[in-house]
Parts: sequence; structure tokens; C-alpha cells
Amino acid sequence: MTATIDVDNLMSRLLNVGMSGGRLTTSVNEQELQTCCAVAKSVFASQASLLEVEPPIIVCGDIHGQYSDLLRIFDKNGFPPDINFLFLGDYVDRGRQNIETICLMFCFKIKYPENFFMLRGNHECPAINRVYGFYEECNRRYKSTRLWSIFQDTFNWMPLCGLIGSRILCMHGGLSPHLQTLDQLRQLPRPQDPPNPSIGIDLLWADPDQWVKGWQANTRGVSYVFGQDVVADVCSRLDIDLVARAHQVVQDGYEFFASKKMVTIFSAPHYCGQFDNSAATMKVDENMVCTFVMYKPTPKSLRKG
Amino acid sequence: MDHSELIAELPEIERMTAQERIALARDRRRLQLRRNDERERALPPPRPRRQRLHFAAEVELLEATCRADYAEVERLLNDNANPNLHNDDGLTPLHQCAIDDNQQIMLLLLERGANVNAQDTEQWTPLHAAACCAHINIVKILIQAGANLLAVNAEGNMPYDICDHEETLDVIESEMAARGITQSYIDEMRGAPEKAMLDDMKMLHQQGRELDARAPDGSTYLHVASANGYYDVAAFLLTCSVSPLIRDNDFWQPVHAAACWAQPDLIELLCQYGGDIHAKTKNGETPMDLCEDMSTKQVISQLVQTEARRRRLAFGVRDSRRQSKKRKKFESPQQGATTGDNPFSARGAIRRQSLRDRSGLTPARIEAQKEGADILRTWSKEDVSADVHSSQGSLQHQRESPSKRVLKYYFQSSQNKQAKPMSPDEWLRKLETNADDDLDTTPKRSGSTRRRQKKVPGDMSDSRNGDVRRQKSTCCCVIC
Repeated sequence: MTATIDVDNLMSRLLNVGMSGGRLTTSVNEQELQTCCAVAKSVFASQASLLEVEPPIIVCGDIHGQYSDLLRIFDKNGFPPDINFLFLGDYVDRGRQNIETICLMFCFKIKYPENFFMLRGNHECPAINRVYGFYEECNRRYKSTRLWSIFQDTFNWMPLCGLIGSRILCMHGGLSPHLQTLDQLRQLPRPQDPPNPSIGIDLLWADPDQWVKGWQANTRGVSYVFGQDVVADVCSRLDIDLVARAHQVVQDGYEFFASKKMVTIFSAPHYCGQFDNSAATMKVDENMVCTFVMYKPTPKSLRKG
Repeated sequence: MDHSELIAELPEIERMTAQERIALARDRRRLQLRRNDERERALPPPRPRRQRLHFAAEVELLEATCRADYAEVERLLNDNANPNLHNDDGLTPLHQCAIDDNQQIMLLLLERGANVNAQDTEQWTPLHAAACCAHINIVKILIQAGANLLAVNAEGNMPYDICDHEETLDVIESEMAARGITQSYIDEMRGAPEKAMLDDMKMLHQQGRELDARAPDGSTYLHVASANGYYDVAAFLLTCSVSPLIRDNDFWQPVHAAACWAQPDLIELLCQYGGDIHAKTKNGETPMDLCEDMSTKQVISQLVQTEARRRRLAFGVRDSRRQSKKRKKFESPQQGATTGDNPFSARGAIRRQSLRDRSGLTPARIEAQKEGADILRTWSKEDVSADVHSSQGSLQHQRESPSKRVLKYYFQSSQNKQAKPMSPDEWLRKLETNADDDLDTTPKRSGSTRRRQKKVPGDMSDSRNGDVRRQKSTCCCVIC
């Protein structure tokens, strides 16, 4: 059975959603959302567990349902397929417009599967998004827990890792003590909600720690924290130049670790309406030169000197 | 084939025709290529030669500065990295050194030509950052390198405005004194960005150009003035009939910009000219939603209440007009018409005239205030001749100490009069009281009467804001 969907029409309506709340539910019905999930699932299934992509590409971190900020990223960099994108996960929870966010991204994935790439974040796991906002939003706006379940089926097929130009390894959370070769990442099983413990859990949950050597228990209660020595060792062993990850809010939207061998990228400015952080995206050009674009928490730029 | 086989084959080859030899050569070559392909497939695939990753120069230089890696910074500068590179926020390595109190790298950067007065997108110089962080040695280095002590950031603050550490503040103020910087010069420099914009607006107006021209995002000069707290610019634009309700592409009105950037004076001004304190953006945000500054939130709350009160009084005004129409049966039509028209046109005239002319009382303003007195007289129904006499005396007194705050309270009390009619002389006496209070509230450090806010508010800043707030509250109580 193959589901059919008018992606252009759905995208058009999603992009016209300018307000939080009711507008989406009157212009997009639940059946369309379910179909969108089903088609996106088949696209994820048709691509590798380790996404191997080439520059030029824009790498983006957490979005967390901040739909207008997602649109700012496209406004500033360009829309697919003119620009290639790799997102590092955490599209839902915490923000106010989870469904618009994840569905627009699924539409881009369906329409431009070779220009638009999405990794899985820890918030694309049912145990987390059941509690931190996504379940509540599906229930409140569409009165449907079935819709939420269908999203989980699609999330289970999402890849956990990306490799850009063979030199930049990307994941949502961090490294794993079990990671020895890239082939392990190529062979990660799907569909799956990664069991704890596993390489998959570490790729979703691990954090770097400036004050740690080697591996230690993560205070989040899942996976590990790792030190700069681990990053240097992994880069050497896998013959890569950089590890790009998201998972943690950082003040300027990006932050280096281990002398530029690892970078955290966070793309939700004014996160949760509580932090005053900027967001950032990392641009990798065709010559493998990296720059960062920053997005201030206040989107209006009316001030002048 | 090995050598011996080739030698053994020679006699047979010699007996072949030329064509047969060529065919044999082709067969041998084909076999050779096939064996080579098989061998290559059996080999492990070669490691791909991929282009190495690099970071842009500004990323590398800022990163090394953040890590306080002197050797790396020096190496990058020796490789001709530009010391004035900056990130998207306009942050330079020199700003970073000021924030991190990194004297060693700062000296290196300055030696290599870093711009000591580089400004980020919020117009902060490294000296702003060092003063704010109370890094006294960094402040000294920057001053020695020629830092501009009067640089104004986007909030209208100079470095000494945002320094809460006494010793560091002493260093800055001593240097200001040593350079012969006077208070009037400080005021002039502080107001320079606004004055430049005001001059531009006046020039555009003289040239007959549109004052509501739009930037690509739909914003106008009034949006910019409201966001930056440029009171005089906004007042000029409003008196030139730029609408306070003008919306940009996100449906932000000037009142949204003023709320977002904590400009309470601008919010009050916009509302006086018909701005909507309840206006919503495309995302459904009101000014209150966009405001994060507590003092400004209080101003918005008061305006919301005032607006609610005015709406109720709108009916009262209409009732008053109906009464005046009834009186037509017994009074001359001319007098009735005059009474009906006065409340609106006169008040508008007062507002515009007073905003235009702040340097002192002029005959036009005296006349306008007299009209105001007439309106009040109508409401209070008191004796005409006595009131005229009193108001004249009061006007004489006012000539001695006019100020913008007086005019502001003038309008505020004017609105309150609709709720509680009082005798004109009583009202004018309260106006004098307000004038006295205003003089006391002028902040010492800043020459401007408009309140300045720090980017990182400290206790002193909160205290001063509180004082200003309490003064205003007292004034309101006195009026009521």
C-alpha cells in the first residue's frame, strides 16, 4: 500500500499558518497529517541509517516547536531545494507549534528527499514527547492520541547519524563508548526506539563535559558525559575533523568543545520563552569551510545606531 | 604468462600471418585487463581523499580568544587574520577580551591594529563591556589605547552610565575630567544619534518626501524612533501626520516596538496621538505581551486603565453634547455650536502646539491654555470673571520654569478633569506642584530628563528606576 499526498498544497497551508492555536486545525485535518506521517516514514525507510551527504549544506540544531523561528532560518538562508539542510533533531516539545513544525519538515523531506535531511532527537522518542508537550498538543488541537502514536511510528524510522563530506560526524546528543567504526552507525537497526543502554541511546542523550576525562555517568540519568580526550580520540580513529551535535542550549547558539573538534548547535532562540539565548546554524560551503549564522532572541531589528 | 612460456611460443608465432598475430595480441590484452579488474576488486577499497574541514577566519580567531589561547591567537594574526573580524552579533575578539578580563590577548590585538572603538550590533564598544563587567585593568588599557569615553550604545548609554563599580567608575570619570569633557558636551554626544535622525526627518519633510516610507520589512521611521526611544523624532513625525497605527509586515505598530524595547515615554506619546494600546501583531501579541521590562509594563497597565476609563467617558461626552443641543431652544445657536465643537478641536490644538514649542510659553500657548480653562469653566459652571483672573496669574508664574514633564502632566490632568471637574485655579495650582516635583526627579548622572536603562540592570539602576516610578505615582496621586 502506498499513501498519496498533495505535498505542495499541504505545505502551502502550513506556511500560511501565522497564528498559534486554532488556525492549523481548521486548514489541515487529522487524516492529512496521518498520511503525511506515513509517506515520510517510507522516505526515511528508503534512506540509510547513516546519512552520508555532501556540502554545501546548512546544519541546524534543536527547534522545539518554535515554528516562527524555523521559518526565520529558511528566510535567512533560503528554502529547500535551493539550500541543503541537515537538522540534528528535537523538532517537538516545549514550543507552542509542534505540529506545524514537524509537518512542514516532513513535507520538505517528502518533496526534497536528497536536499533535506532530518536526524532523530531524544524528544522524538515516545517516553519523552509523551510528557514534554507534543502529546498534549496533539490531544488539545486534534483530540487524538492516535495521531500522536502515528508520529511515533515515523520517528522510529528516523536516522540517528549524518556524515558530511566524510569529515563531519553529526548526531543529536553525543558519542558512545561503544562506537569504534562508522560501519556500526551504517548498521544501526531500524525501526527502533533505542533501548537503554545502547549506542542508539548514547547518540541521542550523551553530553560533553569540559571537566571530565573519559566517560562518566550523565546527571540526566541516561547515557554518559565524556571529556575532550574522548572527542580527540574518536576524531582520530574515525578519521573525521569535527563532531556536530545539538541537545544543549548554548548562549550564542553555537559553542565549541575540545579545541574545535566538537561543536554544539542550538537553533531555538529565546528557548522556552525563558532563556535569552541566541540561536545559530552552521554553514558548510562547497570547499568545506564552516561559518555560523546567528539569530537574536528578539526577531525585530528596528534598532539603528 | 611467464617468460619461459613466451619463449616457447615464439616459433609458432613466427609461422602466423600478420592478421593472426594481431588477433592473438587483442585476445591477450583482453585477458590481461580482465585479470587486472579481478585483482582490483579483490583489493580493499582505497580510503577516499577528502577535503579537510576549515573554519572561517573570524570563527577561528574568536574561538581562540574565548579559550584564552594566546599562542593560537598570535599564530592566526601572524597568518594575516584580520583582528577586527566579528561574528553575526558584531562581537570582536577585543569585545571578548573585555568580557573575559583577558589583558594579555587584548594587548596583542591592539598591537596588531584592532579597532579599540569597534561597535557590535547593539553599538557596545569594548569599553562598554569592560565598564559593565568592572574589569578595571581592561578599562585602563582601553583608555590608554584611545577608547571613546562618550560612545553611545543602542540604549543611549555611555560606558560610565553602566559602570556600577566605584573604583572602575573613578578611573573612567577621572579620565573624562582630564580630557576636559563637560556635562553639556556629554549631553550633546548622548543625543547625537537622535539629533542626526531628527535632522534627516526635517530635511525629508522640507524636500516634500514621504515620512512614512517603508524599509523592506515594512517598518517606518516612526517604528525606528519608537524602538530607539527617540522622543523628539517621534513627536516630529506624529505632528507631521504620520499615523501612530502604521503596521509593518508582521503587523507591528510603533507601540509594539516601544513596548519591546522598553520605551515608556514613547508609548505614552504614541497613545496621546491615537496609538492603540491593545493593538495586536500578526502573532496576536499586544504591547503588554511583548514587554519584558517591569517599569514599562506598569506604564502600559496605567494606559490600559486610562483607555478603559476614557471609553466609559465617551458616552458622558455624548450626553454632554445632547444637553447642549437641548439648550439651543433657550440660547443663541452660535453659542451652542461653539460649546459642542470646543472639547475636541481645542484639546487637539493644545497637544500639538505644546509639543512643537517646548522652549517656553508663547502667546499661542497662553491662548490655548485659556481655551482649556474655558472648557473647564463650562464643565464646572463657575463664575467667568473670577476664573479668568486667577488663571492669568497662574500663567505668569509658569513662565519661569517650563519643562516637558509639565506638559505631559498637563495632558494627563486634562484627561482626569473629565472625570472630576475642578475649578481652573485649583487645577493650575496642582500643575505648579508637578513642575516642582519634576525638577527633583532629574537623574544626576544623565543630562537628559529621559530615563536611561542599562543593558544589565544592577541594584543602583533598579533603585533609580524605583525612585522615578515613585515620583510619578506621587504626581498621579496629587492630581487625583
